[in-house]
Amino acid sequence: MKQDLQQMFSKAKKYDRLAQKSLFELFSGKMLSVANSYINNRDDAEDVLMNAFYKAFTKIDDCRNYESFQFWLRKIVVNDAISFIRTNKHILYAETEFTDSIAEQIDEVDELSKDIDLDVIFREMPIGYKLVFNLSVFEERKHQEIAEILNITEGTSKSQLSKAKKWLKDYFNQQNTIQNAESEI
Amino acid sequence: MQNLKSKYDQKKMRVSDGLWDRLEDKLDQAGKEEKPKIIWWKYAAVILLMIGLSGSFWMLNHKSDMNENQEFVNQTESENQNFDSNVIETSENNEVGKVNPINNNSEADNQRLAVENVNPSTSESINKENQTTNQVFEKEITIKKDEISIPQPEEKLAQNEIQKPKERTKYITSSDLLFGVEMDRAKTETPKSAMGINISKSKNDSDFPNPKRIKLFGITLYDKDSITNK
Repeated sequence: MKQDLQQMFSKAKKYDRLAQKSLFELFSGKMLSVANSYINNRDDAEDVLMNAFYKAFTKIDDCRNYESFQFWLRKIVVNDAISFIRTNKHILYAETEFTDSIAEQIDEVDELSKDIDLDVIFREMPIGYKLVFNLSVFEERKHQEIAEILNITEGTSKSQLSKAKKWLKDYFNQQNTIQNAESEI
Repeated sequence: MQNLKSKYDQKKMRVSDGLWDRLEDKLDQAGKEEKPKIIWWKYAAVILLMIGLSGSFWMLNHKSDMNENQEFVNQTESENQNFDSNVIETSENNEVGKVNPINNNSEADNQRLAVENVNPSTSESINKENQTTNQVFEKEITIKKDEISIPQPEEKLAQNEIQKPKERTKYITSSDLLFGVEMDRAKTETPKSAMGINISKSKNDSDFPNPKRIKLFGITLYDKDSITNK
């Protein structure tokens, strides 16, 4: 697998079309899921994915080795998805300070994480929360990095993450109460 | 949160079938757009280089030709003037005069070459001109003009020497003098005819015929032998 990836990467560096197609087929499914987790629209996510692969293939010389290609490509997809949201959707972040009371809510969400459906998060969560939540949880970015990417303060990033977790908790509590009520009826 | 992340990492979506074709078209277009630009720049650079080189060569050749033509015209004009004067003076040289312009031209070319050989610095400067820049070319060409224009009087002098060689004065030698004295003596001794030709007449010859015998109607009127015997 590694040898195949290495060969495909080295050929793609020479602008070999078959190698590019092989890389596309190998990573397109995962990268489409990543793009869709931000955009929540399949067609727009595919457009973003296509542009991301185009950038990756035309600037593949910037990627040093085949092992980092997947992460390099994922970074491009995430950045393109965020810039797509910024240009098409207006997001306003309210400046709030991160407090200890908010931090307590995070631990409670961890208990619920087993039952969380990812599609629900992508579909129902507000876009402001979702961006910070995705970057923090799925991309494992620090709040300082998130603040630089989204052009917000670090405190805002922390508060948005805690609010996102609170929203998840409330959402699943609400879903549980609805399910309980339906079962009683 | 680790559970969420592992779920997220395992999640995949199926890409629509036409997405790779769209991407391939985009990559092809990008390749086509970039390549013609590079080729166009290459051709443009080559064309500009060719135009520049041909222009510089043309300028150099044109200027040298102009100088040569001016020199040739000046020389031919001066030679034609000399030739015309010669034609007026002698009618016998007409046929030769028709041939002379060619000879004169060839002589002029030879003289011009001779002048160029006399000044080797000019030929060396011409060789150096081909290796220097255009600005230096123009400066050296102006210098060359001056250098070539200076020796024109020398050419004319050389030309006159060749066409009209000085006639050496002939002095009378002693043998000629003695021969003249002998001739004068001979003139005084021998009578001359009207044409100056010496005729050696025999003493017996006279202007009248001297017949031996004259007969008229069978009668001998005169007989030289009878007279002499008598």
